[in-house]
Amino acid sequence: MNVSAKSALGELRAPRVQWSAFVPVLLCALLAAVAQWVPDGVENESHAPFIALLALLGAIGVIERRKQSARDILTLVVVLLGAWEIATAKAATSVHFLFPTPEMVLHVYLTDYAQIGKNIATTSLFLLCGFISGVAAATLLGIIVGWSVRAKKILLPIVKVLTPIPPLIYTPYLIVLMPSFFWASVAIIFLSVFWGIFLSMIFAVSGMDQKLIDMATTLNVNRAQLYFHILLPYCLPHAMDRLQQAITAAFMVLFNAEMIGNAFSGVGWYIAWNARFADYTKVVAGIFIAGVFVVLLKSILRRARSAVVRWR
Amino acid sequence: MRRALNILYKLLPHALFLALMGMMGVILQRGDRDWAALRPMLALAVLMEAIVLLRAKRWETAGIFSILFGVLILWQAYASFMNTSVSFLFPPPDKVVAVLVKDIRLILHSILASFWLLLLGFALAVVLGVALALLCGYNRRLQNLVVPIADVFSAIPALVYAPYAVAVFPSFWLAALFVIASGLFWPILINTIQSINSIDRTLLDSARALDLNRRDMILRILLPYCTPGLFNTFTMQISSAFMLLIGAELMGMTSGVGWYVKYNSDFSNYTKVIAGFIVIGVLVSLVNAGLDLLKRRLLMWTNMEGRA
Repeated sequence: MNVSAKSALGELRAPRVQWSAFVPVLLCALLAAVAQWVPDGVENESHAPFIALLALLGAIGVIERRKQSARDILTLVVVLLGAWEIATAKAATSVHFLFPTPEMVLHVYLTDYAQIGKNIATTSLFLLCGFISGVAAATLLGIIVGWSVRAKKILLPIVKVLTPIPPLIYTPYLIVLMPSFFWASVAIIFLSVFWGIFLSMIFAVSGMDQKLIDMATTLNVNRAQLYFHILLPYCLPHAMDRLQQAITAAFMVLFNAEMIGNAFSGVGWYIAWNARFADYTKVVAGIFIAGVFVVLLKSILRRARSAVVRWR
Repeated sequence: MRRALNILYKLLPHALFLALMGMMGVILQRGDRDWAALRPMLALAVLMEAIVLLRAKRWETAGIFSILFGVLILWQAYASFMNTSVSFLFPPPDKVVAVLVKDIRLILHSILASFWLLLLGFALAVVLGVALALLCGYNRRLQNLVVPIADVFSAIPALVYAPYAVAVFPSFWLAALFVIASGLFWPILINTIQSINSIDRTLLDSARALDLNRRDMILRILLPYCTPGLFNTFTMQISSAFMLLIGAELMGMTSGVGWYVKYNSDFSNYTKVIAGFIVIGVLVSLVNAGLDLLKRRLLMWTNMEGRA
């Protein structure tokens, strides 16, 4: 086959439009048109933010048009959004207090952003303090206990009983016991993170390859070097694996503490507070914020894991 | 020297037991409690001492029970000798044990209610999660659609939407069931899909060569293949299941172990709150041990699974 024939074949193939590639984009445009021009059955906020959101989704659809999975997911998201929009805004005749329209939820973000930002900041601060202290303490103590055969034998049965107790249950008690809500939250997050990582560190150290330890002994390392240059790097990946699970648990307990405690700030408080006043538009908005927050946290953790544990 | 230390170590739990008993005697002498109120605590101490004597051959027994006795002594000493003013916040262990014995009917009832809810939620999540995972294992496109979504949703703690679920569902019980089931559903789905994906290609190919239909393929090949992995998933998820259960019960249920703790903490009865902690700890440990046993019975062919 000569060169011109090849290019001709390429040209033949290139212009073939795959219609399925543009399904999500077309759906976005359709839904935007419906939102804009089909009259609302209920009293609604401005359509502009909703259409902007659809435009964003459509843009993602154009960028990711070659990936089938991305297309499928976008299609699903747009269909769900459309069902939500049509069910609550177009087909309904009055706004049900439990089911706000998407426009109303987006409107909350545009008007209430200062408070939401403040709540996110509070939650992040609490989470950070409790999480870092819990992970650090668990990793160090776990390595020390895991290294000592005797300490392990004595402590393991006790730790095994303590580990699975859901730390949520301590919440009401710690809130009273601790001097302030901050300390209560940090203590609860600490407890929720500590036991699981502590246990997995003990197992990681005891599952370590004997050859590595023998080699270290041959090289005549001292105690500190053993802990910080051999055991810690060996166990770090195990700890990092656990972090994903731990952050969900930490978020769960913090969230719960904010809901039942005497907090006056935080994402959980925002949801619980507005649920108390039956302002479910803000509740739904808060739930979305919480979801995005956790997903972002987790992806940051995943990045951090691959950055810290480069040797794996 | 080493020998002496070893003997000291062996004697330590007995010495601490005697110290605890002595402390009880002092409390009786002072007249803080009468004999009947102290009886459950004495029974517990004697029971622990009996276990020490029975399992004296194991080296670690002495250490474990020294710690337990030590904690009890410190706790009792702090609560009843040093800091009597806050004893309502920090009740001594003898009161906690006494409450455990006194409230046993209510506690058992709460345990049953919790278990029922947990079991239903777990079963619902397992049935739905495994069914969808099997479909995903069969259909690659569906899998590519579901996995990213499940990744996102499994990250979100189910308790986040609890207040909304309470409002939407007709009863607290249904809302709690929904929260538990949805919290377990996504992780179970992901783990099952992963374990199906790890199936040996040649196994699938030979199944295809035998011309199996879709039903047999799913039920006879994929399902048995992922059962051991499923068990591991269960044991991993059981602690998060308890977490969700407690969270759901704290939310506003009127029965269950979590309710017992929340209800009593609302009345500032912290003796009962701590009794509730102990009940939950024992309960969760028992469930874990039971699952372990079941796994060893049911999956005898996977020898490597038992070691961890």
